[in-house]
Amino acid sequence: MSNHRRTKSRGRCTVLKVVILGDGGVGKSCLMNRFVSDRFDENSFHTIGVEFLSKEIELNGETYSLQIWDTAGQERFKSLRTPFYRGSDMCLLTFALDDRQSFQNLDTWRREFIHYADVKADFPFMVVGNKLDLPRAVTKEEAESYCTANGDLGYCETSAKDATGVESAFLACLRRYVCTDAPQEAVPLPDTVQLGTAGEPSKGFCLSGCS
Amino acid sequence: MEEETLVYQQDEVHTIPTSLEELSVAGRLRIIERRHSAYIEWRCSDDESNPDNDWAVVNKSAVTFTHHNSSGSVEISTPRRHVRPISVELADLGSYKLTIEGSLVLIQRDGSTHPALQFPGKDAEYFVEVLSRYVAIKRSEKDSTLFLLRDKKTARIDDQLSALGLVSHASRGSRVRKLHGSSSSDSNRSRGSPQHTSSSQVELHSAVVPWTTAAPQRVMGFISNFRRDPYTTTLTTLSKFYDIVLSEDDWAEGFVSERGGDDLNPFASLSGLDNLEPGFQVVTLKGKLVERPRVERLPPLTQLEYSQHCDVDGGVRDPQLLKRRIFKGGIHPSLRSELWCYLLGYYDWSSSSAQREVRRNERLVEYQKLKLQWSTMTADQELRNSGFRERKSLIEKDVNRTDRSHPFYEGDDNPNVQLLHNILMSYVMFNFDLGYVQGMSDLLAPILYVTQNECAAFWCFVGYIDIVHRNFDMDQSGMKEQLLGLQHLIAVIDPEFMSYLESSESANLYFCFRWLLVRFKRELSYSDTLRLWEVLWSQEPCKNFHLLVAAAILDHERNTIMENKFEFTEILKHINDTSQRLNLEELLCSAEAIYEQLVASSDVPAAVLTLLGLPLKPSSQDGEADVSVGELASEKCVSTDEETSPLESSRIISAGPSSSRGKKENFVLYRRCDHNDDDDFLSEEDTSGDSCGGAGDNNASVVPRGDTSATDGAPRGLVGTVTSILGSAVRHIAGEDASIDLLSPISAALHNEGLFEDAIGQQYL
Repeated sequence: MSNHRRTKSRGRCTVLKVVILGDGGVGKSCLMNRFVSDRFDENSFHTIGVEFLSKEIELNGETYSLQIWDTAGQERFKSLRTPFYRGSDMCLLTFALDDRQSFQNLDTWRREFIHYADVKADFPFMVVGNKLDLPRAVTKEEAESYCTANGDLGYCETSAKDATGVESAFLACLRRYVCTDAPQEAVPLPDTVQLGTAGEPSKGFCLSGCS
Repeated sequence: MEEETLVYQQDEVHTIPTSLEELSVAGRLRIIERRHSAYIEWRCSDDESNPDNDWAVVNKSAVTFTHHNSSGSVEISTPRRHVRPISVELADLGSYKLTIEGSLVLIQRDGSTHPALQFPGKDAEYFVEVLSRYVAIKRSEKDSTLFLLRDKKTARIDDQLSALGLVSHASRGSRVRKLHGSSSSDSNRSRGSPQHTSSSQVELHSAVVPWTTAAPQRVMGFISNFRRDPYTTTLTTLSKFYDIVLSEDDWAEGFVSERGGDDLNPFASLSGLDNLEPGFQVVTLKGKLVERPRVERLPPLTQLEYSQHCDVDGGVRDPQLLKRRIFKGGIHPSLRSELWCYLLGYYDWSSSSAQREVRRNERLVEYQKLKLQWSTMTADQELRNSGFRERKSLIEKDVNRTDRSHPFYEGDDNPNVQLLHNILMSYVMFNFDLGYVQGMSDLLAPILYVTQNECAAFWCFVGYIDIVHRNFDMDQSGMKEQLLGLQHLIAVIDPEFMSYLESSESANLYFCFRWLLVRFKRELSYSDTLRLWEVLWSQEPCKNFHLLVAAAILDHERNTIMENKFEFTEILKHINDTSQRLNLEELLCSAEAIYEQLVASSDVPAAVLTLLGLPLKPSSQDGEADVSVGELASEKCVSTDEETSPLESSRIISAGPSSSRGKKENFVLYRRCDHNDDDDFLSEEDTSGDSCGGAGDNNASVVPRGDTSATDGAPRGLVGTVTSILGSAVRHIAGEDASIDLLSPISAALHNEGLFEDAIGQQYL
């Protein structure tokens, strides 16, 4: 995190930091592993501490390297988790479609993120309903209305287990990022301006609310 | 099909198992040119026929063995192993480790570290020859097995410059790094600048370091302090970079030699300054550590040997002697289920066989009561008990993802998973306040596997949690204390490395969190975890031996981390990737050797002696150190278990001539006096910012101070800034030039405000 810097790497791609949040057991690590290595481990562990993986992804002819940060979901580890929010470019708010409680906790996660990442509400959030392969406890309509009511967040449903929708979830989030970020691209020397800073959220001046 | 050119191929390159449970897997190592880039690839041989299968599942030589216990036998087969293919673009490869035995570990610039591969016939010569066509390879001066890679073009420029004597280290220019290596234009800029590379880096960073609102205040604070007391302010500020200065070896030599004579240690003049700078104490350590001794370990304790420790009633005659023996070699697997019950307090060492029988029966009744309490909870009751519901839900989720690839817990509807659940639920009833915290299931699973008995496992687990309960403190203070203890240790046994970590924003040692929380369980194979735990439970030879084990791992990785110039993100990646690749017996030898080294050394700081529960030596109690000793000892009241020790909330800025470890002369520890209970675990207070009169917002906000990206890669560049501040100050003090513009270096710093913020020691993730 401290080394996070939106930057060109060998002139090849922009590095973006993505944080995956959500209750314990909703499948954060599995989403990350499915996206990065296209695999699903039935026997995967619950995450302790913090891990991250990187993956390059193309959008509109430009290559981005997504650095995906995965943390432990239990409340107890909040003080460990939150420092890693800073400098994020995107956030995946995750719940399990078969777990109503995890859906109800989404807003806690969103607020925690906004607070500690020190970003504005128009930050590129993507709400992800995972475990589409299991019986639903949350309807698509409910989830969508939550997203609409909270600043028009992006929404998609995935199954890390059978790979449904995972890549497109990350892509959709990246699209939102690119869109939110767009006004800055017009500023000269974007590299100097875009860097995440202490006082100012990196995309704080996208007031048009594009999404 | 993409166009590929095969330039190197070697079959029968094997993975190297790190434990008995693992099998070696043969594969094919290749170097391929593709799209103007070269790649190193390794793929499991069995996988060749099916290129779509990204993962090889190796189970063809699964071994079956049987564990006997009272309730029958449990079939255990060797875990199947997934072998992930390796593919690394050469431009991403930062270094590799290659031993004379022909084992190769590829380490990427982003810290990713691949599993070790073994060349057939121990011969990697041709591989290296082919590799050297693409990249310049330089052997590390500190570690003969470590090879650092550079782009050929930049390597040539470096060499030319260093031949001219303009840049002391060819690699220094590449200090300016990004997440995926430095861009060529950046590198050229830094290299193209004559004189000190560091100053060119300051310049370079100004382009990429963002504006930070806190920085000007800090700088103004520095200025006001400077006007009030330039000497103190300058030296205090400088001292915080002394480590950085020193790590630039030859530059430091020049710097130090200018001071001349016995006065080599610039901190000599700092004595007594702590009162002038609130928030800091200076602890000068005059001694040096002795050489680290060589340590041998013993084979595991066997049944025969154990029986000699027992008296006729079946009691252990000399528990201390037996524990010492367990520390030195561990326990043979056949004896574990019995001896773990002693080590974890389920049995008394002195008890006879008959007494233990009684104990078992009593404890069984007690356990069954606990079990009834949760198992008879009605759904209706649960609805009104959210605390219970939460704990239950988390346990259900976590037991289903604990050691499920281990044969004892694998497969659907495995009854052992149900046992894990039962024991954890019963523990919730036993200690509802602590309840269930993630990590506990990791601590329980090996115990159940060894004891193979639900009730014994429960009481052993209770004993284990008694030892490590502070790992699960609500505010995580137990974890913070351990990380601080580890900081203290590293600062003493390897000040150069601690300085490096400081300068790379990694001194919080956060990447060791997982190690400590579950006592290395995620880092080691199952059999090694069992071995390590029994060694730790022996409580020999000192308190907090697990921190010495952590220090030993870091000691093993320090060269790789420093020579690759890894910073926080890369270190985290690299350390996470060492999981399952550690050699436990080697580590235990190193950890014990470090212990012996500390015991044999005089002038080990009291903080470290207290941490390890060693008697304070007279020499560490005089002078300034005494101040901190008193405070340390009284600062925090800790629970009675042996795993915790009083550690102040401090950060250490260590500095010392960066000669070889254990041979250093003097070094200095700064520690913050006031205890900080910030909500934010990892944000260490910007102590030096405060000391410079800056606007440190201690505890004022839960938002960490400053932006993390602001300081990326900056520290080395500060040398120039600080030097010029010092220069001005010295001239000012000497009165040589009263009209000197004292603000010029500071305005330069303002210009590089992001750097300056780092310069004054802001430390966070």
